[in-house]
Amino acid sequence: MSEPGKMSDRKVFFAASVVLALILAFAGYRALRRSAGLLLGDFFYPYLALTRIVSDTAARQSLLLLSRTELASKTESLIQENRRLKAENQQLRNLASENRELRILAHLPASPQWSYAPAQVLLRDPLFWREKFTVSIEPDSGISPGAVVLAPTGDGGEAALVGVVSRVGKRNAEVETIFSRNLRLSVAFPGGGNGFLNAGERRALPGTIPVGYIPVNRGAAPGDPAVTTGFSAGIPSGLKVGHLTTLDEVNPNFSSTEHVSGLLTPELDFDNLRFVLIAIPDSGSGARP
Amino acid sequence: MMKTVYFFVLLFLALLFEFQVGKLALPLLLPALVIYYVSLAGRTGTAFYLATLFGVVLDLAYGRELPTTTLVLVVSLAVGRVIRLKAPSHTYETALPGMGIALTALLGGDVVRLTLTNDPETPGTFFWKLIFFGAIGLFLMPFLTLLFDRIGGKLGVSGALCAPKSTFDRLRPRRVREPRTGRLP
Repeated sequence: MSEPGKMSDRKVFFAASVVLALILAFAGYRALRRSAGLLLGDFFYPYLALTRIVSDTAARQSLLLLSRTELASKTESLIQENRRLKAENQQLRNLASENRELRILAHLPASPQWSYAPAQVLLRDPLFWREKFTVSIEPDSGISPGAVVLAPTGDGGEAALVGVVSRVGKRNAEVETIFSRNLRLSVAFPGGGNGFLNAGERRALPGTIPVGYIPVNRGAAPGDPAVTTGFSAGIPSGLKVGHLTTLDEVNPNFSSTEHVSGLLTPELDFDNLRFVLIAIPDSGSGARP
Repeated sequence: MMKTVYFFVLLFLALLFEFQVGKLALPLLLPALVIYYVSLAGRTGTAFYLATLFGVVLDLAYGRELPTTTLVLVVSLAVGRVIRLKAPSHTYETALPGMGIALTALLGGDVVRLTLTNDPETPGTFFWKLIFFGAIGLFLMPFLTLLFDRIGGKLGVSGALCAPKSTFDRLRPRRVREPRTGRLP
């Protein structure tokens, strides 16, 4: 027979031990977050990469199901596409060398050079769906935290900004996107105005990014495209970010407000990102890492 | 020993499953239900500690700034236990706790999104998600209980469902209160 009060003592002890376990878990979590996260990412890499390997194999096998005639026509169209791309590449190379010579003549520093490493989305967090994701990278690929991440847009395949690399493991890297509150980035509008993403001036609506500190008199308007300014370290200028969807309306004649805020709709569809490109600055090219 | 191994295998499989469904933006559901099953088949205290551990591992793997899943899982388990304190004797008795757990996990996830992210969900989408995943929890928990009990039974592990008491056993002689006065009528 248990003594009176023994049961309630046990319950209090249990509740206290659960609270203590939670506090310990929180403390351990905060202390080990970076190293343990990368370790776990590498530990689970074979499993996470499994779906990619399976889908790649299935795609290859389904290609073999095509008839010889179909394969020949596909190869032919690919050869033609390669020829076109080669010609365009040659033209761009000529322009780049011309630009280099002109910069030397004008005594300007060399423009930054980048190489691009392709990466595939490996893991997405359902709670922070648009804010961060993990990509698979090649070991020793030279990717470092702060490297800019791009993806081609649907129309024309022009590269748009996805975010920056926040952590790098041996085989995986974590990308923080432009939706993340931690990524405060300056953007430029065609009218000459600038703004800051995630400046904290207003709350975002689903699928939009808040942009703040846009000067009232610098003519930004809804529908204007926003591009990177190049002021942020490691992020080239002129990259598409999105377009303004809403902007505070202020009459400068009747208000002393100097800045307005708005909402930006990103250029990319963040729900369907599969492949991204990570820009790695070439050493000695002047690109700031 | 076998029970411990069985629970850890179940949780590890739930973790792997969570990684795959997480890629499809589906909310945390199966791990919360598996932890509730552990609390039914094992001890409630053990389940709370496992919920903490599981949440920490999941949050670390996702690289989250705060161990949000830990809190969501612990609260979900508490809700499940509050809805039904007694051990279930029939699989359908786990349905309501299953729904409660699913709704709590969903609510917890939305609170996290609302407070910690820049990407809140529209109220309309959230409402339909509540209905859909609540229903999923309602049907999934009895199914999981049945499935895990079957597998556990083959391994010699006691399940979550206890043997129902027959109504005959529950009959007790009625107590007749004696009149306090002590005087005979």
